[in-house]
Amino acid sequence: MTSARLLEVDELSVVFSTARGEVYGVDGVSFTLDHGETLGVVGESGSGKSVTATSLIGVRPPLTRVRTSGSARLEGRELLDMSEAELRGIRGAEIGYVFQDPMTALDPSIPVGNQIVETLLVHTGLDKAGAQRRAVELLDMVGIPNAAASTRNLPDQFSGGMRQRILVALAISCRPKLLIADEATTALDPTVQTQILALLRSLCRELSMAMIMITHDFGVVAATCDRVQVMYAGRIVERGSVADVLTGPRHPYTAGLLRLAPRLEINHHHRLRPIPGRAPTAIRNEPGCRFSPRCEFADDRCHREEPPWSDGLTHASACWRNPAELASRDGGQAELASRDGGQAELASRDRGQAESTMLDRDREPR
Amino acid sequence: MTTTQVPAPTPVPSPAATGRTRRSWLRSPLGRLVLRRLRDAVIVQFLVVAVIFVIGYYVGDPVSAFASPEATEEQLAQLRRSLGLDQPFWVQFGRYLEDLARLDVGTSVWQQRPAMEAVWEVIGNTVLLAILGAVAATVFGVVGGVLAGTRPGSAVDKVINLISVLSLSVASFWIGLLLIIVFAVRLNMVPTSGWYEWRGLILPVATLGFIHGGRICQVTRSVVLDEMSKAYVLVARSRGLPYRRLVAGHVLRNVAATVLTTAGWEFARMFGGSIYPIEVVFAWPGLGPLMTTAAHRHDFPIVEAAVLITGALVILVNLAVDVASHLLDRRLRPE
Repeated sequence: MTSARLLEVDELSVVFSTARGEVYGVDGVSFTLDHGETLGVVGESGSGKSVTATSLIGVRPPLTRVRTSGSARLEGRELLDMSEAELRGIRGAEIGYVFQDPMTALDPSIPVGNQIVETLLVHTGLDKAGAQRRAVELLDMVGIPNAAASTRNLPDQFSGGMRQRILVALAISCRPKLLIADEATTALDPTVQTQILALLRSLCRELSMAMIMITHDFGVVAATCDRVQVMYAGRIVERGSVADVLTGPRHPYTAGLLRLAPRLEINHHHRLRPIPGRAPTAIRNEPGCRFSPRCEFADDRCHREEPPWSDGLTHASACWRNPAELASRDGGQAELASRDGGQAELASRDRGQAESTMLDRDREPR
Repeated sequence: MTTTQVPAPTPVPSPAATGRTRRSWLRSPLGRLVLRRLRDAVIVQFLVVAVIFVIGYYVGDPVSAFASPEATEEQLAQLRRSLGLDQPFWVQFGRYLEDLARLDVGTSVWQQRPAMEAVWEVIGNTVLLAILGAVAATVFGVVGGVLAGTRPGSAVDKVINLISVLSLSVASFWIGLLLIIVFAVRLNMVPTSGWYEWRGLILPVATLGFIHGGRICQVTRSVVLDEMSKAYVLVARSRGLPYRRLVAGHVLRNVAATVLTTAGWEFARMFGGSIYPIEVVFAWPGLGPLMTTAAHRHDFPIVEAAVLITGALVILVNLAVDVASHLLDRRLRPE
């Protein structure tokens, strides 16, 4: 019996063994994805977005030693228990993956057509001639001009945007059910970025493919996704429909991120308010809310105990503070931009290092 | 039997057409590369010739070697005149080049025949041994390098690393003698030396392979390791390419030019000197024993002929490596 859900991730943890002990890449992440659904995963560098995604296909950079626990099921089949050979059958065939940097993602000395053909031959029953025809179709589909002639070109004969299109063609070549776009547009300039996002969205519709869009940019999420989840330090801190999260963020971290999106209507005297402190580079298993050292609203309980999920059907966050309370003090997104609430809160609080950093930054003349 | 199917006659290209294709080939990037390298080769070969001549001019006195110890000063002068040794430097050099154009470097006093002839007779043996040695070295180097480079830090990597460091550190003749003692004398598996049967080649080829494989191995390991950590390898894995195909079809292909250049350099280095002591140790009838004996007997023409020819061989090998790496790496080959 196949499960109705395409992907079910349950309490997924990924622990890296390093010379200085164990470090959590992902710490107990759970989410689901339906067929044809588009999910955005947002967070800073090191928040565990990519580690979550690469765990699904079991591909890691060389020399990394990891321990993975929990469960990740693709149509009911447990991905984490699969052998390397079984996973090879999943990679490319059922889960397509588009990486961040298109300039280095293709073998520089093999014509792009051959790289597509090679993938098709591994996963489909096509013969060489059939695979070659399909490669041309795919390049055409992702908008490579003069596709038939382009198959014979080497990667460095294409621009970055074109290469990313080729990588998208590679990722969808075997009609995967799930496409993971891992910062797929980050390395591209904004015009090209818009084109690639439009391409990804239309491909998802045409091929009824689900997509996980990993990004640090809410703009990308707003343009492409149905749902979004925000990750911080290896955990999901907020999830919900894109409209709900963007207009009414409940977690202070999400609110902080949204506050950082530059907006046209605000006059130039307005300064961006960075989230104080830094994202942890090595996450260890410590009690309390991971965001508490940087949070404007954190109290003792936040530092001591892990926050529960405030459960809403379509919108939920993991925070001790009452979302309503946050909303009343800081309002919606618009009021988050004003700083009164934050300052008052700061004065009444014990000051950790992160907070003082923030104060220093605020005083800095620019 | 009747011929029912006559093969279509191959169209004979007109001279004009062939002329055009040849010209255009010479103008292609590869053609230009070959021309450029050939020009360099001529210059280098000329320098080799010049150096040999200058050394011959200033070192030793052929007349005193020829003449009997009792010869008078006048007899010596006459001999010098008859050999043309009283002529100015440039005249002698010109005559030397003239002779060289006919591949004549003089007569071997020791063998009483043209020195070139004596060298030609054995050069084939040296080239054969060098080719087999280079193949052995490349096999050892590439297999070891790939095994180590795809498993950095593993036990396999450490053992291969140890072997390759040994290969770079030990003296070649010592390894040769060691192999003779173990495999020929103690185990009696192969003959100690000689060239009467192919098994006589095993030990010298193994020695050459070991001595020259170490560097190829280290270079291969390093470039494979580097290549494996490139993004495209991760991306290729993410589309489910089998590991072996990834290593063989992508990684090895991309490092082939580097490995080949190293292997070619090791091959050239054999002619540059390393093969000769091994030939002597294994009594292989190549240039090594010939040159050593000739040097002992102050037989300059043979040494000269040998140096000229090995110089030409080194230049040829380098040219071949350049062309091969061009053909291997598509990025070096514009449309």
